[in-house]
Formats: sequence, structure tokens, C-alpha cells
Amino acid sequence: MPQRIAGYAVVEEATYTPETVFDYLNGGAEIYLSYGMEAVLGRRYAHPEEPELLLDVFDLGSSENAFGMFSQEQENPTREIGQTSEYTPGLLRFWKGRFFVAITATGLTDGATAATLALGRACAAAIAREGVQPELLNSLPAEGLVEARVRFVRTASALSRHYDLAGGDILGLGCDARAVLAEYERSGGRAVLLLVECWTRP
Amino acid sequence: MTQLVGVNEPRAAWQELLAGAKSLGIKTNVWRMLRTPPELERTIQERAMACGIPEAAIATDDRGAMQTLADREALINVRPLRTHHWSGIGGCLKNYIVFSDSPPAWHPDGCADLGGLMNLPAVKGKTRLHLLVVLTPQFHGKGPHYFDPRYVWDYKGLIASRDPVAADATGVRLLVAKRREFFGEEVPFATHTKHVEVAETKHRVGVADPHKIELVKLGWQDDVLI
Repeated sequence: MPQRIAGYAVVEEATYTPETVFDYLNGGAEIYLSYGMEAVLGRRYAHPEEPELLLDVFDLGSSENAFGMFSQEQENPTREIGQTSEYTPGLLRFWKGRFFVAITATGLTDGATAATLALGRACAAAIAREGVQPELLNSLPAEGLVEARVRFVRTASALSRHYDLAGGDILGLGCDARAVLAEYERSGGRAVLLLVECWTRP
Repeated sequence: MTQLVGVNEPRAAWQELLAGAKSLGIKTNVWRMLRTPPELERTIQERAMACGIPEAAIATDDRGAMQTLADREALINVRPLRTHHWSGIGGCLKNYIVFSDSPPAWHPDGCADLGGLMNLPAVKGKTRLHLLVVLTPQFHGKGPHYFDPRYVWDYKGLIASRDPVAADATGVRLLVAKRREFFGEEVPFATHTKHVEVAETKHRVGVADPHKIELVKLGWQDDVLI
């Protein structure tokens, strides 16, 4: 990951573990832990005239977790950076291999936007290996699938951010499930499909 | 302040607000994305000094509040309003979580019991003023820091109350109105803001029901939303 880019330079850097990430992400750590977060590198980039950038590189242990974390907030993904990415003014998110990466600009300027995208591309290039999406996605019927509304989740709490099944964990997902929530549009109607991988005990 | 306290002169309002206090703690919020403006912290400090509280007896802190503010005779609670991953909003109630020995213990059930923070021994009965900063509130969030500059707007206001629940309940109304205006539909918070209601119904530390809150609007009324 570059120390300097587009006039920005790293001014602060720390790595957090599942035990310490609460000190870093104010109120937002749980969702990353639900996707198996092993560590996160947090960097702050400063520029003399531009808003700061925050780079967060999450090691989620597997590519299915990295995809799942990305899918949590996807709205209109593209394949421009990493394996799938999404840029909205002030925030770039992408996943590649077992890593989920987010770059947050603390203000909206042309310079910050250009640096955000340049930093994203540099980080994606620094991650050597690509990964595969969760196998469970292959079981989704293709007709009418709204790909931007596919969420891969590992826990009931991650599912509840998008679909509340009467509160609590009534499906018994626990903390190590594989489930996919997908939206469909067919014949002018909308539907939601929840597919949960289940195993029979040997 | 004169309206809030019910006197004619600003200095008299501050004097009544801080009556009897020989030391003051200003519980601020230093979250990097949207912190309490230092100018506002300094203004509060200056008003307190004008009331006779020595500068050395005034401390301003956030994350070290348990060590630096818990022994103060009076507290002022000041922080920006924003949406929050696990409690729906971050407001006056949540700002006291650092006075707890175990902040994560307040997270279950969408942080439903945050109102109980007002009953912790370090703060109970000490807070003279709650200032919910809505100069540039954040009405939606995204990403690891739950911050996206698109979702912050110049509201240019302050919500002042002696009741933290009433302040937060009014903040919730403001964010709901802004989200409706921005998104064109009702978009629920990431987490329901039940902690504000529970603060009234269970912890009895204030009033959450908007029908019971007297909202006095002063100054510029354009785009006031509520």
C-alpha cells in the first residue's frame, strides 16, 4: 500500500485486532466481526490543501467473507477496482481476495476524489491474489435477479440489516452460517429470496 | 440561554444554570468525522469563567472523561447529532457512554438502555445543560466509519435542553424529516432509535414523547424541517 499518492502522505497508521477494533470503529465494528475479521489496517492520509483520506483494509480471512462484507452496502457495483467496487462521492469500497477495502474522504473536492480512486487502484494492485465469490450464489435462479441487491451473510444480525425475520435468530444461523438474501423483479413484481445453506450432522 | 433558563440577560442565564458549581466538566465529542467544534467548547468555557468558575476548575474531555470529569460538581454535555450503526442515532444520551466501566455492555438490543447512563454515579444529577449540536448534522451513514460527506448538511442549529431525552427525541425528529426530504421516502435508521423511548419509559431520565416536549424555535426558520 503506498505511503504517498497524489500529494497525500500517511500521517497515522495502526493495525487493530478483533479485540481492539472497537477502539477504532465507533459503533461499526460488529458487522466486520460477523464476517470473520482477523485484522484491519487503518491509515490516515493528509494533504496540505485537501480533505483527509482514511484507508481501511480488512483481512476477513476468506474471499467469501470479503465479498459478503462488500455486498452489505452495495447499491450499484462495477468491476473497475478490485474484483467488485463501488464509488459514491466520498467513499470507495471494493473487495479482492480475502480483503475488503474502504477509502473514506472527509470532504468532497476534486483532488480528494482523484486521490481516493488512485489510492484504491494502488491498493487493489498490491493485493496479489483474487478470490472466488461464495458458491451459494450459484444456486440463485438467474431470471429477474437484481445483482446489486444480493447480500451474502454469515450471521442473523448481518441479515437483519436488510430483512428482519421477526427479530432474533429464528433460523438458528448462529455465527458461522452461509446465507444469501436476493431480490428479484419479475412481471412487474418484486420478491425476496433467502437461501440458507444447511448441513446434516454426520 | 435566556429562553431556556427564563431570564432576560445571557450572563444571568449562565449564572443560574451553573449556580453553586465550583468546578465544571464539559463532556465533548471528538469523533474525527464530526466533532464538537472547538469554538463551541471554548465559548462554553468562557461563559463558565464569566460566572466565576476558575479556568483551572474547568475541564473539557471526551474519551478520558471518566478520569477527568467524574469529580466535577457540574457537567455540560455537548456533542453533534449523527446517525449511528448500533443505536440509530448518536446524541446526548450516548455521549455519556464513556462514564461506564464497560461501554460494550450498553450495546445489546440496539443500545436500548443508554438512558441508564444518566443514572451512573459519576454523572447522576450533575448535568446542567445538554447541547445537541446540529450545525452540520449527519443524517445517514455508510462505510466502516459510518460517515459519508454526502449525508451531512448545513442545518446551522443548536438544540439546547436540560433534558437529554427531549434533546435526542427532537434530534430524531430532525433526522427523520431530513431523510424523508433527501430520499423521498421513509428510510428506517440502521437501528431503531428505541433507546430514546426507553430512556423515558424505563429509565425515567427525561421525556421522549414529542407531544410533551415544548419546542421553542429561535432565529432563522428557513429549512427548519421540524
